[in-house]
Amino acid sequence: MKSLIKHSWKFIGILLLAYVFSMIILVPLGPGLERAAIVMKEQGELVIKVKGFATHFGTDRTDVTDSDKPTRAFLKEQGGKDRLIEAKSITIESSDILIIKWHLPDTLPVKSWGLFINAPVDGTLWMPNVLFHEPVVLADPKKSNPFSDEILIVDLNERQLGFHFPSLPRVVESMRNLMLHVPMWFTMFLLMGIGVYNSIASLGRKDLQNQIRQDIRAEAAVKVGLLFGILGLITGSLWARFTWGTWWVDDPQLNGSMVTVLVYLGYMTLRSTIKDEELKVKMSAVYNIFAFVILVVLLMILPKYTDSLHPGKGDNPGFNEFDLDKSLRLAFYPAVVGWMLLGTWMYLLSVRFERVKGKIRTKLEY
Amino acid sequence: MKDVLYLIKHHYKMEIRSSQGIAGLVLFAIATVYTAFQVVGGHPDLDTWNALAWIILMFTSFNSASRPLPEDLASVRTYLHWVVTPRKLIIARTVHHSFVLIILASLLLFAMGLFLGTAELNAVSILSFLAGMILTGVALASTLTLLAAISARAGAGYGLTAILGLPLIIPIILVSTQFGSDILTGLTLAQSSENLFFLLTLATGSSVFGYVLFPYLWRS
Repeated sequence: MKSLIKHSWKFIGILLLAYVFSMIILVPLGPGLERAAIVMKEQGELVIKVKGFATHFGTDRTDVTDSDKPTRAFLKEQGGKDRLIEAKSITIESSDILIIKWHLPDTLPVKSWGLFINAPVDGTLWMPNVLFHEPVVLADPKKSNPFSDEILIVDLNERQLGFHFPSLPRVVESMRNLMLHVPMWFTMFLLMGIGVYNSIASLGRKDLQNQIRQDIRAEAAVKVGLLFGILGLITGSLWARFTWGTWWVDDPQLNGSMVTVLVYLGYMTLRSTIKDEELKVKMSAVYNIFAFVILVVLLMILPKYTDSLHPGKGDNPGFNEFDLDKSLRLAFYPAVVGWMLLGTWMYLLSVRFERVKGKIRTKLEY
Repeated sequence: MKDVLYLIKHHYKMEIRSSQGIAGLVLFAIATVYTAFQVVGGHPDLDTWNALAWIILMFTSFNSASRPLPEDLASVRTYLHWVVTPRKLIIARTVHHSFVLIILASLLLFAMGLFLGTAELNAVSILSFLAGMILTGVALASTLTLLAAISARAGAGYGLTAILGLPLIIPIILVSTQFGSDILTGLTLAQSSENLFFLLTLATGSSVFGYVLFPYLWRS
């Protein structure tokens, strides 16, 4: 009974991961916009054809009888004053295809415009960077004011759907990868943290026996951490293929993670080249501290200040703003905890394995 | 302080005495530039010029870091262990190594101008570019000094310095390349000063690191 309680966290980890994986496989994706293509843009006429994903255009709400909120579409100014231009007419082709018409003014003030669609069943759907326009200052803003003054948020339709994951433009089904890709890095941070803690501790110990004890822990943590890092690279590369179009892009976050993994591979190489036990402990501890600082700088600090394709970095919105909604949180947080527990378990097993190996070696030597 | 100055002077003396070491480095840098000139076949475009300059500087710095130092001999180390503290030694080494790289960077820039053309740089922007190269040299020196010490202690030599160093050098080279292309496209030093600031931070960071951690390597 006592050992059951002692090991319960392992069961919790496995249960959490089982829950997460069943969520990943079973929960359907909510409505979203998949593509928006400009069909015509001349002389103040703009026609955009929108392809939705799992949408219910043309369907009215069943729960409210006096529903008087029809489907509406807006162009929204990005990186400016958030002004809106409402569409003149919307043609519903099918449950997932809309053809939307705008009367544009002669001049538009900002470069990029996002698309917002407010549908009765699906709620507010959103897609950034639908229209690019050369910025021109309006000659006489009083003469024609094409912008609708009402604020979009006030007029939101609420979603009337079951439990689902949100669908992001361009991300769509690959959204489920969030529960695999991001926790890999969190787990790697945790394990590398354990590693550097043990490295510092081993530098502080006086006798060799204790130093080696700490060193074994540090090595095991880095080994398991590296595994998670490489898995993070692989899942990230797959995700990039489906959202950004290539397996690898020149992006500070990607460069940082690649360099970090290379640095830790250097740590493993360094360990394998040194024969003398005491020297090995010392040098790998020094290098591990170095490597951890590189990790913190490259993966946590630098990408926040540089332009990146990743959400939440540079000028990009984080997943939080629109999309990391209730349903995703319900899967994402358990995933983080589950992977971390699994990583810790793997780390402890690895430590025990190394210890047994060391014991056998000393037995054989005598 | 007096010890540090003495140690720097000593390093300098050793460098003069075995002058084929530094001559080899200079020869390497210039020969690489000349090879690049042969391969490119004339004056390359700006981006290529920029990339060549920083990559050659990077490999020159690796070469210079992986020269065997006399202190790495066990007997000399035992002697030094009794006369100076390791912190003084790492400061002296870093300063000395920075000097060597500054000289090499200047010569490299000269050779680039001679063989590969000046890439439409005027007098002011050449000086700005040189400033970037010097700072990069200092940053590279402060990172590689510690790593060279590690690989010398491990007894693994050049290969290990490269394996350990290359990933750590990438951030420095990325910032430098950005700085270089800024200068080449006509920005002034002030407009690209952010990159110089980054380089300075990286240099300071790795020097502090070497200062803190070197004694643990040295002691035994």
